[in-house]
Amino acid sequence: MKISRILKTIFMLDFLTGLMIAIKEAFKAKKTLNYPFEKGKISPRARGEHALRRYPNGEERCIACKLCEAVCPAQAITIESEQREDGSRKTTRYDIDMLKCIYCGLCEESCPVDAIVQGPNFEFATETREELYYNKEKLLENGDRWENVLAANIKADNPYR
Amino acid sequence: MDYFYTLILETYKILFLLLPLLTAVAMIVWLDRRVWAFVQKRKGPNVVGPFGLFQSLADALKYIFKEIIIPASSNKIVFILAPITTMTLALISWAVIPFSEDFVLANINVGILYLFAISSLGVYGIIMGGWASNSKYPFLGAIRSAAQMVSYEVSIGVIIINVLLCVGSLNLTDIVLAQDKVWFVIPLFPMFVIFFISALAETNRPPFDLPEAEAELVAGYQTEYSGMMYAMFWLGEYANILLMCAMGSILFLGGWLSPINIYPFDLVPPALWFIIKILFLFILFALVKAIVPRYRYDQLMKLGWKIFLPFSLIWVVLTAGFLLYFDLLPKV
Amino acid sequence: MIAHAFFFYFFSFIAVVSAIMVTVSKNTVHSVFFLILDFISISSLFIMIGAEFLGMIMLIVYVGAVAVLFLFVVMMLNVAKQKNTWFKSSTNSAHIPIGLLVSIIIFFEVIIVIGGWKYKPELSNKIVVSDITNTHSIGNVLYTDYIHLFQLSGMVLLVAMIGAIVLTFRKREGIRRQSYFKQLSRERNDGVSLVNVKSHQGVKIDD
Repeated sequence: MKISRILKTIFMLDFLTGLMIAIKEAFKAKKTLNYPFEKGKISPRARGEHALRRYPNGEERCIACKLCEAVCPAQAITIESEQREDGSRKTTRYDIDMLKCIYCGLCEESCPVDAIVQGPNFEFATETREELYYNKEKLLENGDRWENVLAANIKADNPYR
Repeated sequence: MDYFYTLILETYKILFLLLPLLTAVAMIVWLDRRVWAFVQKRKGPNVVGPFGLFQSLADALKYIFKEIIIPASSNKIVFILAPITTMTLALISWAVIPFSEDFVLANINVGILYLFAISSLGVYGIIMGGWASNSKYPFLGAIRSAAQMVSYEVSIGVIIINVLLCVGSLNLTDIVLAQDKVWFVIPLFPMFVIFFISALAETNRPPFDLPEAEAELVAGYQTEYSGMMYAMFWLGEYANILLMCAMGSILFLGGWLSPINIYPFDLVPPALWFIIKILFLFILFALVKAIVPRYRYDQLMKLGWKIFLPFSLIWVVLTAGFLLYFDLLPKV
Repeated sequence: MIAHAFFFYFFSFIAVVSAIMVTVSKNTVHSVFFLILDFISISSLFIMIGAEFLGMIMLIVYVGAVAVLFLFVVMMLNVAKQKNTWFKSSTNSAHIPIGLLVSIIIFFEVIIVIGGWKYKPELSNKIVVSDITNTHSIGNVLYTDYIHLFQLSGMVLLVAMIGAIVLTFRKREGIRRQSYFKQLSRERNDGVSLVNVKSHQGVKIDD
């Protein structure tokens, strides 16, 4: 064993070097975001909370084709439909069990009319489980609230589809 | 009547010491988390109150409202007694700590022995908690901590003997006053380092937090505890850490004495110097937690028995020989 | 003075009760806890008569070290739920006469000691009240008059310790041990060497 190595061990120079580095790093800029007040950038493809979109004239996009219900691997989606007086087929019930949902994004992929989408919102924690059984009203309300962002995201992601 | 007057006065003094102490413990937890976060380039708790200072109070509030779960197969009396023991022992040792020359609750002759005795009792809270939980992880944690604390107490005892050789008294006030000319950290620097590392082991701090190693033992002896009982373990642990910092600053860093006794420095009240020294040692504790990986158990034992104990024993002989040769032994 | 008497009786009561509980308690771990309580109350009694050094040493040595090891052993042996059938089974009650004999002998010894102390006042008057603390006075006696006995008792403990180590020490063959001095002393040059390799020729690794 080298003398220098022995001296290094006895005087704990490795440890002191580590301490110096730690102190130096402690005063540098922090890498983390101040989360609830600052948020990181989210990709247009982010798969967050679900939303049902409408056409600009206020009509629901969903045509109750039930592709999303079929493709859903967690079987979280339940759809019931009927024919309206004007001959169009619309949903009477569109439920998503957000506790079952695995946020895979397949419903969004399968939708032929871009009706069901997953928005950028990931902060929808609730105090009870019941609040996470989303129904049609809740989903449409989400769609109305996030419409600007959802449209922009779909547009931004369009070249890669 | 006179007797009751004394009783009330003493109670007032105790409360005057305890309430700031408990607040300080809460603050020190915040400081610990903050330092730890800063070294890892995180921000740490910064939301509750200014700079997140009230984070610990919020945590304490949360613990109070949580349910206390007592395992059905546990030994209930001992299970409840364990956190109370830890907390009580951590608090009663502050009775002898001198904050300045005239501000000390009990200026007893054998102050340092009292501190040493109480800190050696601290292991019981952990053993009782681990045994009474009647569960594998807590039991292993308790066994580990018993062996660890007994081992490191030995070297702390020998280090204290080093200091006592230079002072000639067991009174904490005398120990501080003996450092009037030079703090013992200068002549006894290796002992200070060993004391610091042993204090880490004694208070189960990283890198010696084997009794609560979360990777192997979940949370060691605290695994079955919840709510306020867990919080009491937690408060006791940090009060113990503060106590060890106070002990280090009394033994080696000159207690309440100011570093240089000239004009701007002697305006600072002595108690404040003492607190600054405690904080300095505590920040070192927190930094060590952030930079050192956990020791393996056999390495821990080897360090305690094969390196620290012989080294501090040799240093006792050296100190005694030096003092004897230069006729510096304290006069009785 | 009343407070003093009150605390004296308080601690003595705890000491006696916990001493009894040590022997009567069915759970071995509880026995050890009662033993610790006993030690603590006895050390409080020591402090009350002004022997604060002895009280603290009692706490450090017995409670801080010895009882921890007791507890350690008792927990490891897992005899926590032992049945206390001492006075029930006929085989065990055969030991009672011997126990009684020993306790009677100890009782008379205690009487002789206390009696000697009571009726020979010159023995107890040796204690000189002066301004030196009792730590100093114990040191003055222990390291001068009784230094040989003191060293001898240390030797006895050392022999016991070495005996225990020798009895339990076994050298295991064929196991690989870690030596972190060896690991730490490894330099970069010991393990890594840079070789200039010509293409299509490869490297020859000796060993």
